[in-house]
Amino acid sequence: MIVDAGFVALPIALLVCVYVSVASLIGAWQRLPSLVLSARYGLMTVPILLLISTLALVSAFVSHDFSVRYVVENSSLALPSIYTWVALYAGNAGSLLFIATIFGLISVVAVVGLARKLPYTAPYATGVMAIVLTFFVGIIVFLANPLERLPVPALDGQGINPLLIHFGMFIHPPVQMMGLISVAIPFSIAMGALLAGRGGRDEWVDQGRFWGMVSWLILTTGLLLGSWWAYTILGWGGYWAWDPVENSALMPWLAMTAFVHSIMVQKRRRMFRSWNIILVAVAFTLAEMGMFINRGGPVPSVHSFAQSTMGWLFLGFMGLTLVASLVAFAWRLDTLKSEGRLDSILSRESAFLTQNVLFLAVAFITLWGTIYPVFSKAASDVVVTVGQPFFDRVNGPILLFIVFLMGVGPLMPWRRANPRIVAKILAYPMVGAAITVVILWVLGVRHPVAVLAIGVCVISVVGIGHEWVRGVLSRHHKGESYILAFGRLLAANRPRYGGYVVHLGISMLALGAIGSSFYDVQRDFNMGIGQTESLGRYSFTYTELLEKSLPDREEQTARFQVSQDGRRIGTMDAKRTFYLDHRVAATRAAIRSTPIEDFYIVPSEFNSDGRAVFRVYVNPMVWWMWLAGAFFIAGTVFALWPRLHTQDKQVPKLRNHVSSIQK
Amino acid sequence: MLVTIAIFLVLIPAVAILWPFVFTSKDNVPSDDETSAHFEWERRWETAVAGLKSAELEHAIGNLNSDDYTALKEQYMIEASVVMKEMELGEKQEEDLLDSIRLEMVSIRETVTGESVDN
Repeated sequence: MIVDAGFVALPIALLVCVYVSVASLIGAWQRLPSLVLSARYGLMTVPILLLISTLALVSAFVSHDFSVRYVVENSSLALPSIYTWVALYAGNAGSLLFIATIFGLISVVAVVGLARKLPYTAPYATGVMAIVLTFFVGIIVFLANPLERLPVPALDGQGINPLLIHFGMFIHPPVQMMGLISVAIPFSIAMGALLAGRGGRDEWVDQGRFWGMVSWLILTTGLLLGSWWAYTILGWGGYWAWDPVENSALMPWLAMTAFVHSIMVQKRRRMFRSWNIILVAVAFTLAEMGMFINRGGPVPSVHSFAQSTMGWLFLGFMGLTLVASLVAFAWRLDTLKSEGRLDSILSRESAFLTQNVLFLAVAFITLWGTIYPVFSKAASDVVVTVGQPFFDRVNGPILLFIVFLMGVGPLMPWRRANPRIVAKILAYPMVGAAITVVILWVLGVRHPVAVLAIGVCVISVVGIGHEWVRGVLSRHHKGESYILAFGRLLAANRPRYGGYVVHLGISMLALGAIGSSFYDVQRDFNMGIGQTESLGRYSFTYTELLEKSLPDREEQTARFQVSQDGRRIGTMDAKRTFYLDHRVAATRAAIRSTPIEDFYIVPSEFNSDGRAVFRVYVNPMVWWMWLAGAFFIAGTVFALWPRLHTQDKQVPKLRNHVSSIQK
Repeated sequence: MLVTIAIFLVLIPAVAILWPFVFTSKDNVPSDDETSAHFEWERRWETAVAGLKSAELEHAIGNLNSDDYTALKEQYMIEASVVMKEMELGEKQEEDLLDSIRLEMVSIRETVTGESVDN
């Protein structure tokens, strides 16, 4: 019965979405408050209906209801019930329902805030969100209904894609999907402001920035979790391969990163008004491109799980939103003139603009490399794929320059900076970078590009550190403890110092990427049980092979005793699992991770005597990449956290102040 | 049974959608929105105050020299004054607002450096 309720809830949700789209836009245009409110209340019921459908699907999985086609295609009696959550979004239809439900929930939260802060713009933004929701729910109802029944119930299911049976799959796909769809919120706010004729005003900026940062954080977390999953389970020793699906998540992230920086310029300087509208439209278009590639787009990928022909519908919707955005932009162009202007090349806004252009350059280079196979096929009937060397060589230097700007830009004041002050500010970071380069050289780290890149990261870290040290020392001289002084300094300007924490995370990420790209060591060893080999400072003995047969899979685990510099550091288990139903093998690398380097062993197929080829890696500094994730979350939350003032120190809101006097 | 479920599910959005038409209240009509002059003044005021705070912070941590700081501060104070003039506030009201800004500047300087500043 619950499945039937979920099934019925979907077309009702679709009708409500259509109503909200139309009523909200007409209500806003004709200034009909009751219609606007009706649309808003209607929107609030959409996630309720979608949650009923989602719960119905979960219930079908838990109860092994093999009369539901999606349950048959994505689970089996042998599937541990804990993986029900993963099975929910393992296929196309389920993942679309998940996306629609999440987007419905986020939309309601966003609209409640918008209605309070921007009552005139909110109905337009609500209409845009409802159009996006209509598209997703429409696809679910007409083309990919996860609650569709089979004419004859099956006895068992086909099971889940084995690669999805991993802890990371509990959070990476949902976070990634949430990240891509969450870009629609700042996009809707910007489009709402544009349609309302308020795009050239700056009142939408706070809400746009807030939701832009939320979206950025979710996208970042999704990307990092995806890299971690690839690193631990795909067994190729890396975390990023410039695969189309990876690129499809990276491109909107790049555009959103540019947006969350340039929106600050609009807030502070009333500049970049057109640019910000374009940026957020580009970000949403790229997010839609990501969903298109994920769902059966024409570009081959090693891990697009939800292959289908409906990718072309996503392409159509992407084209529609892009054209609609451009039309709205052209219509309101006369209202988008900036009030401020660039006073000096040496200013924070100038650094932000340069960084923005570079982010977009990386995004479009990545887009070109991703879709190049399609063009090559069309032009010469030969599919030419663009691989990692292209992306590394073209994007690498640009990303490095962005890291440099990340270190220098925030240290410069708004409007203009005195060259002498800039030289003074940069002196410590430059000296820090020079000392680091010398130390690296002495330690034998001499690859020129790696040394340069590490030096650039150090500029950023020392610049932030120097500013903190100056602030903490001045407060400490007044008698405060270092910790209290540091805490109060950070509390002085949360957005600024939250941003610095994120920048420290980016430096860590860059250091991890540099270390593991330039100094990784990889070798294959054909080993039998009892054999000892060594790589770098590590020696490892293959001590035993543990074998386990389960109803749906066979597991083989090679156990190693590992020593580093002659000192025993423990045992490591490298696992290979063969899934009988899918006829697919999945590996689980044995990884010993430290801040210095990762020691990584991944097995291939085992012979009957236990002999196998093991690929062994030493990957320096990868650990820092995962730590960076904590900095991203902490920094963004800190930047967004509302500031608590004591009333006597706060500059009052103008309206409150005036009305309090008038009383 | 399915019909009962369908009716129940339809009722959820139906009630929500019809509610504002049946139970009209003054809440349906926002008294003021962002198109009003008050919103615009408030936004310009907050931009000027944020600019002043930022300039104070940059100066306090040594990223802005005194000449640039003075010039920037003057620009933002002019913007704040223009807003107050447009709002036709009384002299006392303007003075109160300016005092609150000065207090905030002192607070920022104290927070960053632990030193007090003379305005």
